[in-house]
Amino acid sequence: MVKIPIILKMLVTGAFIVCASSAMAANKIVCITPDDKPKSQAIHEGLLAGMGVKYDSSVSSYDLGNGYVVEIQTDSSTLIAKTQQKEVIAVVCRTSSSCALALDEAAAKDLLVVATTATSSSLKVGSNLLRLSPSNIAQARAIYQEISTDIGKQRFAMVYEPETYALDLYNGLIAEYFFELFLGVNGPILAAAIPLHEYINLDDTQKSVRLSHVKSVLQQLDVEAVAYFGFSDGFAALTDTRVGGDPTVVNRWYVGDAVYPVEPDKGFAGLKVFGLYQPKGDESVYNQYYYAYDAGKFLIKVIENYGVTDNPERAKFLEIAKNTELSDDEAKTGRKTFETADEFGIFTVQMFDIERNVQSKAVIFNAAHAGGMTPEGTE
Amino acid sequence: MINGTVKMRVSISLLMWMALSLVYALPPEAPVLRLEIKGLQVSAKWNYADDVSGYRLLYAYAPHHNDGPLKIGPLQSIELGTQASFTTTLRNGDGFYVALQAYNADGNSPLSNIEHFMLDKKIVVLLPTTDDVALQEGIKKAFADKGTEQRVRLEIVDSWRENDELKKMFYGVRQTDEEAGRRGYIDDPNVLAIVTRNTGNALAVTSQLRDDRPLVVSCTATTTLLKNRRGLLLMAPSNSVQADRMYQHLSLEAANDERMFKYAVILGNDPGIVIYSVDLYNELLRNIFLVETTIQVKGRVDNDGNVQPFAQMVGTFTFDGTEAQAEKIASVMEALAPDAAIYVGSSSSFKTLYDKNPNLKWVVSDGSYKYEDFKDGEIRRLNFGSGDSQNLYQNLGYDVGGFLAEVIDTLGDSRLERSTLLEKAKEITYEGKTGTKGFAVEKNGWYEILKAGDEGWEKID
Repeated sequence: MVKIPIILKMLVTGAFIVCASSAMAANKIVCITPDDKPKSQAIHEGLLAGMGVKYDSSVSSYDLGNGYVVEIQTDSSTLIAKTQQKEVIAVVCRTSSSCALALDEAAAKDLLVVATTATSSSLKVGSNLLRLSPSNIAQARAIYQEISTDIGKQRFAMVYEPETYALDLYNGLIAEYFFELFLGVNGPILAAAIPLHEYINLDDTQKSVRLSHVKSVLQQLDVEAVAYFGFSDGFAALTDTRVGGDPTVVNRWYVGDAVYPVEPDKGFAGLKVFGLYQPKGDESVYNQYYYAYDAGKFLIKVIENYGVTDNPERAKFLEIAKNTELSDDEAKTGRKTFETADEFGIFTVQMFDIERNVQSKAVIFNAAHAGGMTPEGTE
Repeated sequence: MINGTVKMRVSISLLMWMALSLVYALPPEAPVLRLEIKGLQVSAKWNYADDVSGYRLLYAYAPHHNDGPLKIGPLQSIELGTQASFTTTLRNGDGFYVALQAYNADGNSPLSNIEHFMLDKKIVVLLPTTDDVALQEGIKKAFADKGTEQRVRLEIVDSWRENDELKKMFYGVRQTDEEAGRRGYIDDPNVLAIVTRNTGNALAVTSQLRDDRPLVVSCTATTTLLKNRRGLLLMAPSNSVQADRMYQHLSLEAANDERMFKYAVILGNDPGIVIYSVDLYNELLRNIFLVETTIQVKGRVDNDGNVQPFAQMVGTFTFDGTEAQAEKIASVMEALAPDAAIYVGSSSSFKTLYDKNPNLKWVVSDGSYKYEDFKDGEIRRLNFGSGDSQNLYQNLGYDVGGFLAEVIDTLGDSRLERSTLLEKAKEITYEGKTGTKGFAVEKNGWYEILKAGDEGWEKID
């Protein structure tokens, strides 16, 4: 176990520490990821970095001092059980499906759950759930606004993989389309929405990409742009010429965050790939790192406010979290409170030119003011 | 409303009375009269003076008339003794000029200020087109059957020449030297409720209302986002009810087919209907996605490894009502070969789409479909069921009138006010001819499924 003198940091920041007794029961912060792959490791590393602790991939438990411990779990199925353990004071999760377990009836609801990069809009119902990344609703809105800016009143289509994440984005885009119609805005015209697979996928072996159908429909309906909601393999099947794809079937492609980032040799002119905001800096190539960093930073702030106790009160910890704010200056991915997930949707858009050069721009979509996307600048 | 001649006549009568009263010395000072109107209850109040031995209320009847000049009855009086107020309940439509006079042993006071009031509690029914006649008739019949017109009248607005005229109705007209002013429906507290037709009307009206708002009833609007609109009651079942029914029917078809069942959705987006159709589509998606995500989580393979039959959406295509678009859709349908297609949109545009795709099995949203146009096709159409579909709009209108009548009946005369009526309307559940109606009712109606039979549309479910 790596022991870190975070108590010193807390003293510097003014937190009042009575004592750190070895007899004190641990207040556990459990970080649960579905696996130990690089994106999950980026979550572990970022979380600990935000707490001022160095990550070691061979270590699964970190003593923050002062009665707080961080525990790394690489099996999402343990989430419900962890919420039921009284010494667990907070849970950090990564994906929509694992964070959704926190909403399960069996999961305890009196502790803080921090969703780092989960984007499902259904997570908003969790009153104990702090979402750090914008939901699919905000992402769909940002994508729709980008399409609207680029193609005006021309026609566009959606191609989607019939599974939870993509259907959520699909629903978000239809909601945005409907809202604009309702307001009387003459924006882009939806021509079609087509599933990429023949049937709902049971597992990867049963997927059958209906490439020729999709291509034929897009050509017949004469659409200017496609919004693609799905994953990297499906996108490659559609657009990568090396595996039979054809990016020229439409002029413009807009792609959801599950495909981000696209490698330069797989990009093409007219492609815009939306990703969760990737700040400048070389700390990590994975945006998961930065959201987890903010989770760590946020938790430290809550701990500072909560102080030392040998009798953890999860409800009180949660209450303090609900009144805690991580400012723009403190966070790497934008201001964080319990209310901000969809107040500001911040995305990085990866754009390709005709030479396959990659450019990126950061965009902030302010959902609260429905004012459209404001380019923050081109990197 | 009240022209100068009428006012002069009333003033002369009152001055004559006053002249006769001035023969005594040291009469009381003129009292100050104040009227308070609550529903059909009118209270007159005044400043009570110690040197007064009695008060007398002078009044002239001036009832409400829809047309023609205001008619004034003869001047009359009531002796009130030494009381400091007077309250009475009147009939809707009554109107009066009133003044107060005090008296003592030394004579009569000058007259108080002269006040005029008119009780005109009404429901404004904005149903202007010829298609709305059946709705109007239904509302009138319910009011007549329940005797409600005695207490609250219906003001049917069945035409306006241009939008400016409608604006004047809503916002009123400022009084000028030439023309009397008129309160608009928005500010007129006598307007207890406004009945409208569809989504557009309901939105337009509710967006203009302010704090002391009348109840708004929409006869046929189904857009789901209207469900939580403040003070708006929807009489027709929302699109979520229709979408549930459509999806349920399709799932049944899939189960009966005993194989993988593929369907496409055609979304009508011609102007004028697009909000309705996208809203209905959105509700349909809610059903589809719920089932598809559940299947993704739980799987649909039985113990033998066989895939269980399931209705799978193979694409959505928009249709703008043109022949060219109908042709494009036909070629796409040929490529996808779905087992069925759902159409959500305008029934008047559907014929163009159907003519290019006559061999598809269609499930189409609620609307007016001519039997002759589709008798050879395999069409399943949703129909807002009333148990008596021939008289749907008359029955729907009757339910609007019936609901309002029931709310009005529960309110005492002094409570016939906007706020109390709206409050009461939110509590009431009404069993109508076209379903249960009320703010708290989740499904205020139902849909039946019809097919083209040998001689006409036949109900199959």
